[in-house]
Amino acid sequence: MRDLAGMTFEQLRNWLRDRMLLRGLAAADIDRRRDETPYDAPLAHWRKADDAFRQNLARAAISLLEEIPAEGWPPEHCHNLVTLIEEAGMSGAIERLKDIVFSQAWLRGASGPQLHMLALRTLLGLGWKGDPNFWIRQPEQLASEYPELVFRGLLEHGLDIAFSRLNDVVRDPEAMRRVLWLFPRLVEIHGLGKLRAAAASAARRASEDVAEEIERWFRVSDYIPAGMPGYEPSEAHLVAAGLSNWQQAEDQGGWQAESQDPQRALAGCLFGCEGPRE
Amino acid sequence: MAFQDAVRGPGDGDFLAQMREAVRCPHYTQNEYQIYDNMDTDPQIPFKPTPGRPASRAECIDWLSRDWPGDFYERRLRVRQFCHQHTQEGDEDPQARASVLGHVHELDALAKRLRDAASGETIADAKARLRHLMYSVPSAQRLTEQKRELGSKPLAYYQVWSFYDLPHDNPFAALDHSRSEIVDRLGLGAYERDPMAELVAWSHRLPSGASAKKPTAWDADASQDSVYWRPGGRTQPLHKPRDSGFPEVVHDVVSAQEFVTPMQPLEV
Repeated sequence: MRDLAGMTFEQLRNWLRDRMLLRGLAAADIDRRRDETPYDAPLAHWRKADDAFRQNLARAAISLLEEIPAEGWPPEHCHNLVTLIEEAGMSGAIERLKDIVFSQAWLRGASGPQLHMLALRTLLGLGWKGDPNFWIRQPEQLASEYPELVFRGLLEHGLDIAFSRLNDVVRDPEAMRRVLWLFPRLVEIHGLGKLRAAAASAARRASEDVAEEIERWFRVSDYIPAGMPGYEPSEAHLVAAGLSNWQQAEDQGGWQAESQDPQRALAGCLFGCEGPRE
Repeated sequence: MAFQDAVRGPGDGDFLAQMREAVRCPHYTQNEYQIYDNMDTDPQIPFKPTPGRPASRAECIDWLSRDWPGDFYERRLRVRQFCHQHTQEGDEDPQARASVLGHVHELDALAKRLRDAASGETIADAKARLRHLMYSVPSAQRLTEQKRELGSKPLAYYQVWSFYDLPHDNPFAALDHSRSEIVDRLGLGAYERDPMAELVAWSHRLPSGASAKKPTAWDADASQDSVYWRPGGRTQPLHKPRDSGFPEVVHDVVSAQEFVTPMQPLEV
């Protein structure tokens, strides 16, 4: 790795720009065999560096945000820069990103929604939460293309609040599938039981095909992860019990025969077949 | 013919000595000049420009000497730039096209690939998602679920290195599933040096129309970890005998749609 600490601010800024844009010598030492990203090495350097270097790198990175619309950075390259900012926790970028988001400055242009999403994603990653309505009020295009981001914004206000607004974010199974990307991490944070209860509550109010996506996720999740071998065995047993009861009910003609209401039956399954609570 | 045979005068001789020094790896005590030696002896690399063959040593010297930096570190970067411009130029390997290929990847890198410019998740979300697909989904459904969940998203940024094992349909058949065995037999010295890197493996077939090439020294690059590679089209075991390696190829990035067996963690 090049000696970044020995560079002047201008040299560092130019190097960083080239690195993020995958240009010239600055990008030549990316370890392709290990599928290294352009931001891995500067991030590793940041983590080991002293405050003076960190300030310099943060200043350089934040100043490059200005170039993104002006110089027409493609989203992939913008992603490199904002991921560096986010992963390094460069909180000095928060105010600048808020300006970008509230003015919707990046939203204009061909890749606008994607760039706007990247700005929001970074803001969220840096610890800025907005309020629930802020996330719900995001442009329609953002919610339809990146529902997982809007849902992440809501999750910052609590699991129950997020799931209570799920129907505002998710309108079709494809959107639900993207929100389901977040579930494994939510299990790590909240535990399977809590997630299952929150999801069941939301599934009762969701459309049939969205509820089916949620149910499907729990059906194929025979849990363990987080610390891996044997993690939270009691949780795993709980869900296994719930799912096997659901399967049993289905085998016997199940909820379709009894209630004609798949969402209510699904919610029962997710609750461990105790039945819906509403 | 080696680099030395391309020397046109005393200046070129100096240049080669500088190039050799620029790609030196002091940490590799077996041979500090392994990278230069790989480039110098790879039988797939011709001496002079030859149509349909990989970039030649003469082209390498010409290109590098046109803009040879004074800075020692930048010299190495220039060599690496040349390598990056000449990937997948080796011989086509028809056997690989017909075979099931094995591949090993770093979980972190894969998570970063999933969480790309079109994803609103975090890297931690993507990593948890991958673990979910490997551990939580019952084994009978794992392949189907991984294909469904990962879709057609490319699973790497750069070209992919894969291997196959001719007598077996499953490239991992002759290997136990341990990290140490696989790292050794595939010559993945970078991961021996980094025991904390969490590795996953899968097998795949190439999509129709895709080609697989025998890697050249240009594919092997001039990074610190390129010292573990050897010319000849087979992986170079780190500790086991040379003949316990496997035929290896480089090819374009694949997606989960090409999986034959699901992605699995390597056991530590």
